[in-house]
Amino acid sequence: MSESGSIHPYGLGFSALLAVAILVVSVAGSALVANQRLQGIADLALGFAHQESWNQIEEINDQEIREQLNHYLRIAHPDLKLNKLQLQVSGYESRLVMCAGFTMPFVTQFSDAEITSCVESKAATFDPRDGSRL
Amino acid sequence: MRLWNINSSSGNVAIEILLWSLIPVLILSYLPSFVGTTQHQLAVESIARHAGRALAISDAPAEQLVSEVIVDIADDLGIGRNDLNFSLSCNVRCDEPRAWVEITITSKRVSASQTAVRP
Repeated sequence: MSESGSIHPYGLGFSALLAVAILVVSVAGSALVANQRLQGIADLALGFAHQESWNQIEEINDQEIREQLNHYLRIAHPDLKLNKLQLQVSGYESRLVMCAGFTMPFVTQFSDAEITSCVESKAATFDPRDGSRL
Repeated sequence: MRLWNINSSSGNVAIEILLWSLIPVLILSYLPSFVGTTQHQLAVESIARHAGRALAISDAPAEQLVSEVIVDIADDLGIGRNDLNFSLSCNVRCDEPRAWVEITITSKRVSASQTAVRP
């Protein structure tokens, strides 16, 4: 077994491996931030939709909730790249699954790739007079 | 002539060790700053979300509510209260019913915004 050879392939390989690991950590971190942001948007959008639905028709109705959700997103987050909006209304409770595309600040230097982040939010309406569940 | 011959052991060992230790160190030096920034960004996003929910639920004065949220959760998130600033931008007066309030939380180099509608 020969002990002769250059250290350069080892150095190059190790550095490349480190660079890829850092890139993966960066993308994962950015995805976490995007997910956290989207969770806030979904929670506030669904809360708004419930509140407005109750204010306007005094009931929680699938169509009204959907309209109010779109109204909120159009005004508060017009640039959001929404990929999926799945709403389930059951009585006075609702469940929203929202997916949106985010571009990665570091990755966009190399490609137009974007990641899709999905979050789930739930809301229930309570009687504003005494706080009891409707 | 090839710059590096992978079968050859010739070369200056001091330069090679220096080169191949310095490059990984340079790459790794990016990690603490990125992790710190991401941790800060996550904390600020979380505070903006909680502040938004507080504003959407309670009809207490907006500035007071956001300050309370910061006091309540900043320490839990490992972020100094004094490092945090917030601003409110509203379509009408922030304390009016159904006012649209955009909360922006900033800390050092990061910021996060959410929009809430007052009850």
